[in-house]
Amino acid sequence: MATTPRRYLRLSRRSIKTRFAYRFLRALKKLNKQKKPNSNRVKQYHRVKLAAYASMASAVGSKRAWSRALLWKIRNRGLTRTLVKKRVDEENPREETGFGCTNELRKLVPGGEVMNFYNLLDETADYIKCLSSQVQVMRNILDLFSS
Amino acid sequence: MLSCGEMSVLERQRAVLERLYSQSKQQLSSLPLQNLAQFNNLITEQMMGSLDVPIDQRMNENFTNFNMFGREHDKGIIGYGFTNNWQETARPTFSTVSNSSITTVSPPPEKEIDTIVAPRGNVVSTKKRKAEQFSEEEDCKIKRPQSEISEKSQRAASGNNSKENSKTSEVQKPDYIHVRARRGQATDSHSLAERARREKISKKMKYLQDLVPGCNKVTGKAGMLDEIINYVQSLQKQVEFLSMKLATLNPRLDLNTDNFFTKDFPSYMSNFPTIDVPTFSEYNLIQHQQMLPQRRENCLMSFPEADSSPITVVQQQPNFETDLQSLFQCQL
Repeated sequence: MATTPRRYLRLSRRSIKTRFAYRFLRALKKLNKQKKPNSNRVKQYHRVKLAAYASMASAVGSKRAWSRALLWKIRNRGLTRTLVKKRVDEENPREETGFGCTNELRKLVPGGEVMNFYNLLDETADYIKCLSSQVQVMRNILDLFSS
Repeated sequence: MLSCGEMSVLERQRAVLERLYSQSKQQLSSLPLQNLAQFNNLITEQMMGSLDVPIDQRMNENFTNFNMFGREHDKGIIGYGFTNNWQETARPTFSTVSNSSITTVSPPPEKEIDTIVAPRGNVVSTKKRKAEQFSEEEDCKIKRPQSEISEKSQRAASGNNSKENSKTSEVQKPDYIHVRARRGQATDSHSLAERARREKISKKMKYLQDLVPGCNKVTGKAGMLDEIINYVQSLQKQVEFLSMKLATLNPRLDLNTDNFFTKDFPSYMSNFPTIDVPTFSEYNLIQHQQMLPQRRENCLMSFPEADSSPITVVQQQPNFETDLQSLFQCQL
């Protein structure tokens, strides 16, 4: 009797999916509660997306650079919004050289602008893992909602 | 010598060296002391004066091939006998001997030079130092004391040491591959660090290659980075798409979230390949969120859809309670 919960504890602490699912569902609930009457669909979509990213980052915790950067970005999004808009205007089509590839990867991974290349690869590997599990969980949730 | 073909190379070398050492000792003991002193002076003058540079050059040329030659002991023995004869016949004019022994193209150069010129402390030490420098350039791992030579008694031992060192450096090769420089590569600390960094990066790239599907076929760093970027972008787009869908579903989500933790979550969790059960704090969270729906559904009782959820809550509650209690027992 006493051994089984311990096993569960060990299992669940390891899994990012469970933590993300709980956080994301809680965030969705919160969004539903504070839904404004005049909010259109685009705003709602942005909120859900932000909730997904934020819950993912907080599920990973502060041990990863990308999650730290993502959380910082989300918390200070009022500050960075203008900067992001500016950057979108200047964006170039992708270059074919390795250097351009690296720069693109830096833009994709949150917080990647300030890392060296090895750390960038490390963070990218972790980010890809978390993103794929996030997609899986969200797809499951969507299936359950739509059914 | 031929009879011991089954011994290892190192043992054979050691045997040969011991034999050489004993022979040369006999020779030296047979020499009178005055002769020896004269011989010393002569040879040192000759060697330091005119022959220093060519020897070093030849050392540089041949040292890299030394290991290969070291295995052919027959040649070494023949060469030694040859020079021995030269020594016996033309002992008064030793300078010519040294000249000829050096100018004759000899396959194992170090051995001959060792045996002939070994009594000279300073000359040998310069050559040894050269050899040491070269070996350090080669694999920058070996460290030898420089003051071990220049004595007759340690002569053979030092020769042995050098050979053993070269052997051990050969043995050590697989351990230090990521730091060690091969022939023709730079050995300063910057390039070594750079090489280590590149190895680390390529290891990480391999790991990423396993992680990203369809990346195995692509070769080259740029192509792999391209694939990784595409994959990350596609994942981010999927997240956006899914969140858009969830946003469109959101009006209906109102009631569904109430039932979610009680009814749907176990089935939803069972979709995972691995069994994940929430932690203690998450149990608390569930309890908290179960309380909310109950209160909410009390005031929403008029809804016909909300009928099923209280039952499931009642069904689920005892399980959670017992689990929680066991958790408490486990933790406190």
